[in-house]
Amino acid sequence: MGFVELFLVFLKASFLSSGGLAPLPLLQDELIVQRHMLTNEDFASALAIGRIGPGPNGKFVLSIGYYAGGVPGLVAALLGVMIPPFLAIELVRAHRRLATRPWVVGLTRGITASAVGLLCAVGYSFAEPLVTAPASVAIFGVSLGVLVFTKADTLPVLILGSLAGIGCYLAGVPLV
Amino acid sequence: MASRAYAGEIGVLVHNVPLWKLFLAFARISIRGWGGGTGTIYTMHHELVRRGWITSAQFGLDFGLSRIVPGINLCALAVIVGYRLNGVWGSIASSAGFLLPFSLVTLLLTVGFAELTANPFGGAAVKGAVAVTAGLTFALALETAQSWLPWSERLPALLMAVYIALSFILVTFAHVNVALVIVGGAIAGAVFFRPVEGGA
Repeated sequence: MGFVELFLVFLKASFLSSGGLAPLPLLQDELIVQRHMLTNEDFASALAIGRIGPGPNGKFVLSIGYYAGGVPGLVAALLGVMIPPFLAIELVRAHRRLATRPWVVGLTRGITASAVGLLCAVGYSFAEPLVTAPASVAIFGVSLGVLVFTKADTLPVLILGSLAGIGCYLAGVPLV
Repeated sequence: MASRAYAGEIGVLVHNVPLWKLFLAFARISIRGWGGGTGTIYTMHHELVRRGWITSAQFGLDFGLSRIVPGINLCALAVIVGYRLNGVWGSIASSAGFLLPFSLVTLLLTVGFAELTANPFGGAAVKGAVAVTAGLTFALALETAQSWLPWSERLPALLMAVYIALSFILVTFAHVNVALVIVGGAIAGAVFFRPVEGGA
């Protein structure tokens, strides 16, 4: 895929999502489902990297850019995430005028509702291939429980999940 | 152009902050903001209030606004603060200062990570991380639903829950285009998910 096309994929994902991990379903759909350029493993790596370094979690998109097209891919992703936030200037100007209008509240709610459904769809697509291996199902179930009930930070959970993966490898327990 | 306000008040304390100062301040925030979104928000608030540029309350309002904008919320927050401190050019300076440092670090980490996954231990670690990612995504979905569903307004809340289920089914089983589902949600929302008058 060319630089411009890749840039447009990231621009679209960024425009149609709000919040750190929100572009995940769109990118997954474009790059894994439709174009078969990347794998679930690439996305998991990108998410883990997004959690490690400084900056917002949304920077995982830059790693995905790198996986999709090396350094130019990362630059395409960077440009893609850089542009939509400038709409904020218009928002600041329009804020007092529009923020309380019922249809704007409704529209924001609609976008959020679809985002929740899409996150479930992504979770399902990650979880579905794991159902064949009990060890992976266990890691999935435990991490979901821990994240939901303890509000734990995601980085330690990711690290523990990775260590569990290494443990399974050493013990000869299949993960997929 | 300086106007004074107390810490609890909404207010921008200085105007026309030089562009290079904005760039450097946000570069500093970017490189020091470890610990994901929360860590970066904490650092940004600390650095901006410490410099006496904006009040805490102003930061709070701008944070709320940044959450409505498409894309990475923290980038939008950098744009808003830069805009308040020195107009459109200020927003460009703050945005560039914010994005460049963490992008470079992310590049280095990604390159290192590719080496890691090439060996079997790294590969197994990533497989474990995939399982966690699945859990993470569902957890995020639950958290988002919990904080966004207007629990006191029964009808919109119910309709939103229906749309959540519908969008999951459409994408997973009918393979409907993801962007279409979001735009559909926005249109359905503007019509059906409006706040109910006196719905509390």
